Amino acid sequence: MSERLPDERVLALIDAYGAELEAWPEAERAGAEAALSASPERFADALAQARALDGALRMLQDGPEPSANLAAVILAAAPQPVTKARSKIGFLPWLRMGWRNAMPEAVIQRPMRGPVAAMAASLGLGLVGGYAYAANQPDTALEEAYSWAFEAPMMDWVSEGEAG
Amino acid sequence: MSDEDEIRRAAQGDRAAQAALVHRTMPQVFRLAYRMLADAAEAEDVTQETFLRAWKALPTWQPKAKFSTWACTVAVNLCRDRLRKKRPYAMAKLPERVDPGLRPDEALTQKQAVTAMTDQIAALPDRQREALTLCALEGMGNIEAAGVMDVSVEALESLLARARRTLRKAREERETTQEMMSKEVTR
Repeated sequence: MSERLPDERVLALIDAYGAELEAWPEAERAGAEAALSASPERFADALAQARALDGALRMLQDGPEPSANLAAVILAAAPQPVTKARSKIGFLPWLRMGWRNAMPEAVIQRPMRGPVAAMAASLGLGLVGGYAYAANQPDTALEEAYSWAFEAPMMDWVSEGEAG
Repeated sequence: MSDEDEIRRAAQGDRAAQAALVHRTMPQVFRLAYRMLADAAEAEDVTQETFLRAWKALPTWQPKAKFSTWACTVAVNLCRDRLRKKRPYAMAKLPERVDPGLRPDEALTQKQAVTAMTDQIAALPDRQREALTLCALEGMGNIEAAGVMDVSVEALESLLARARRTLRKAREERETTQEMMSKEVTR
């Protein structure tokens, strides 16, 4: 036999969730039932009032339907099937191959003078370093989209006479 | 297929998994948005936006909650954003479910009761209306609804109790007025 809930708690449950036991928090149903069985007269008025409102709310439970093509529009924007990625030459193989093999023939043949060679080397190092850094960063747009839903900002605007 | 498997497959472009997610969750998201925004076109916009965010989030999905709970959370927040920009709240023309077995005069009375209830819900403060919509109209459990609204279960119960007390009082006043009016007519 479950431990009977205090009467005040049962009245609070009726106040919040109505007269139907199925709408009450699952963990408290057995204790509430014990209280209702032990003193039905104590809760009769509250249950009757709640039942009347429940009936009125039930008339609104059939919700509206979306338009016929909404599902199709949503599915059209869904992720496409994953295909095998084309093989690309990665960064390390490119480095091993040597920059000379990656350069256009015309550049290799012409002798590069000191300052020009230094400039080309700096540009190359900058590009390579930037690529390596970017490849290791997480996709912040996806993380933001996900965390937004679970850590959505609390709306701290308060309607008249109401506190969160 | 579990929620997690379905989401993983949907993220990989499995059309059947995507369709299953949409057909199971979209109606609930749409209804929730419609009840909050009182406008079918806006509710469809919110529903689309919710799923666009879902498609982006799927590859990094962490099973902290059911997909439907996550989707309702996103939808509620999108609706709140729209409501803040759009004031005053316009009353929703919710579909009326009238018992086909009633006599015409009874059907009219029921229709009037539904309209009155719809008006009264529309007049509730936004957070009370959210709580009532999620629990009393969508049948969501208290823990899930509290999660969607990002409040404690105690706060949710407080919102529900206040909403129900307001509706009960309005309903009783309306019935008293109707009784008085029908006595006047029969005098």
